[in-house]
Amino acid sequence: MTQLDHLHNEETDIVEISPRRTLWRIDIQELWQRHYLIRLLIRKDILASHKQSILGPAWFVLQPVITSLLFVVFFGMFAGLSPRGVPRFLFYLSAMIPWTLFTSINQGVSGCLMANASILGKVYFPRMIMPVVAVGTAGLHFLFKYGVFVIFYISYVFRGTVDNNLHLLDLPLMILILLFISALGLGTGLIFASFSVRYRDFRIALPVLLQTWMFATPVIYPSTMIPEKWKSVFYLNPMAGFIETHRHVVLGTPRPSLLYIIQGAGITGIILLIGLTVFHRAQRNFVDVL
Amino acid sequence: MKNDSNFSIQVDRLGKRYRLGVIGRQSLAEEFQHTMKRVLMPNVKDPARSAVAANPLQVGNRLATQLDPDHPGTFWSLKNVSFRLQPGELVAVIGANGAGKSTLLKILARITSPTEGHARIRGRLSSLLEVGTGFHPELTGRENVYVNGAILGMQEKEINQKFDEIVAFSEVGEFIDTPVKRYSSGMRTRLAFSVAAHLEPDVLLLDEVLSVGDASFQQKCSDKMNELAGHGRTVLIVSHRFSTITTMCPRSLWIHQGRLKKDGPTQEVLAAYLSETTGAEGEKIWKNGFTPGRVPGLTLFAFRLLNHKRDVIKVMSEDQSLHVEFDAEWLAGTPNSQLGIEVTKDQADSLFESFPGPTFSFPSPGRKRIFVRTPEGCLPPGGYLVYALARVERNARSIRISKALRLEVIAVSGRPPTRGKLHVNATWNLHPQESGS
Repeated sequence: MTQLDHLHNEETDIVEISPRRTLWRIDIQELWQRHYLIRLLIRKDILASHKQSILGPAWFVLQPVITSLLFVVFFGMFAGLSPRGVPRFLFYLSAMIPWTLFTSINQGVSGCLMANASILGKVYFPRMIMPVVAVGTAGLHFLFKYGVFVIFYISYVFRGTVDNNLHLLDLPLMILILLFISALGLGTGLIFASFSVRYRDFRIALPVLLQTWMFATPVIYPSTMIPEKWKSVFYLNPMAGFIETHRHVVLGTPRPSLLYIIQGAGITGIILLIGLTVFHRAQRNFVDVL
Repeated sequence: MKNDSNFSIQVDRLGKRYRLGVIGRQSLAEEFQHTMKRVLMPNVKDPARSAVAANPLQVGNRLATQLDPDHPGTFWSLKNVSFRLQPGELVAVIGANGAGKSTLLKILARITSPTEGHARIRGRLSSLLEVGTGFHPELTGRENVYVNGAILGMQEKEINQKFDEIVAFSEVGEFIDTPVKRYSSGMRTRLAFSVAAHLEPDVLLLDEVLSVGDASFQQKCSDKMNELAGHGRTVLIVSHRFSTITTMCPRSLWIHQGRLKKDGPTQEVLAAYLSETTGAEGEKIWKNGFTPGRVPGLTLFAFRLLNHKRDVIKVMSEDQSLHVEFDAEWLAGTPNSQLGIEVTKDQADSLFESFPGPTFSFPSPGRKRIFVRTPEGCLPPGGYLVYALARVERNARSIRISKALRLEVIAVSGRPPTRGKLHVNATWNLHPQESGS
């Protein structure tokens, strides 16, 4: 009975259950203790997304590539939205890849409570695990997609259609940008997850909202098209600065002012805090509302 | 001080308030309409708030005690519940449907949070609430065992060690690699119980699990729970199977309308619960007398079940004897008409009937009281029906002359369950002549 002895000696093993409403609290230690569960659930999610599909993981490549090709034809060739001097395909792909990182995290996190309602209603584990799993799954998919992007990029560089203007200094900036994009996806996703538990409207509104958001973000057009006087409003959308920075790093398009990037990071931080707060509130009793 | 810290579950004035009727408006439009209505037509009542008045049936017996006067439209599913369990205790939670038993377990399992009060649980907690707990239907049994184990906070290595034992106990066999959605509900429950019980929980919460599965699996479950308790684990179980509870759990909590009505030895708690809740009364009285058509000259005024203190009862423990009392009148000229009793197990099998022996003489004409007493401890725990019988003469076929009285026999804790429908106290002797050789 060694386990029992250890139980009685360790006061930390006591779980307190009380109605106390903390504003927000993430128990990193509790999450870390469940890292095996997190890994297991991420693996389950990734395997499940390929079950009963012929092309399997190829879809993760085909999706952004096909969308980018469509953009090339409609927005690039017909509407003439893409700038000169940059291959159209790479122009769109370099924005689509980070944009889908944002949307896939957002969608994964938004749906995580509803999708796992059956398990959440019957066993306890830190609820924050579900968003973490959604971020992990989307992140792994992203790495795969990013690899494909790099292959395309290198092939363009070798053919000489794109100058290799990557600087070693840009690498940390890029990682930072991708982290901020993930944080924004998580923050907005948490807000949606929390409200969609009570109001079905949020589940219906999400795709429309994401589409609108994409048009407000320089994905299909360069930010140079935005009149100077609207720039400050335009960059209130953190994704605008992030996407343009990513494009700047790989394609050498003009970089948005550093001030806008910092502002975007700040807004992202605030959204993430709001997200964590409302999620913490929602997860406590969402079982009663379902 | 030492004793004070030696708890497994400590519950202190725990309460949970729910909204009545409409639980949460489902769309923003509804929320908007609701708000507008309140602003524009303050006199029209909100359906959620008037649910009590409009639909008393839905609210049922919560009406009186559980409604919260300070928060209209809400009720306390659980209120002011306090108790403490020591490590190694096997405790049953009993109560009517909707009494708050499941709410209590849900709070302790941290699936929902309490509105007031608090609880402390020491050690790893595993719970099995309703059927198929926490299984992902798309995953195989094997994958679910790992996910469930991980949810409990176990590492892969620990689950590997327990895996074969879990599969063996659950009897799912080769189905372990089949998605759980193709399992029968029995298989799902067996696997769920097996996982929950084998992952070395310090506290195990079970809700109505024993109602599923066949008799042999139920026996395995209660053996396993006894084993857990023997190792200092604590088991809290919600069940309606009184025979299982009485043999397994020495202590019971009776939750009634959200409150802890009684906490104590199972026998006492169950007796109190049954005597309050079983609808059928322990006696039948005919004020003006009742004359069974086929037994002329006999009029029945009362038929009741008693204990040795002559109190009317509906519940007795398995070591007692059953007393039956008749209040009857014989007319002159019908000396052969006889009264008797029959005991059946639930509705179905008749266990025995009893008529007076040849030496017993029925009274001379007039109204008399007759007592019948069965041998001590002949009825094993379970539900019984007691009928009044009559026959016109000693050799005639008996007939049931009244509706049955319901009797619940509860186990004496510590007594092992026995086989057979009746306890028979046979006399055992060692033959004196052969004992030496």
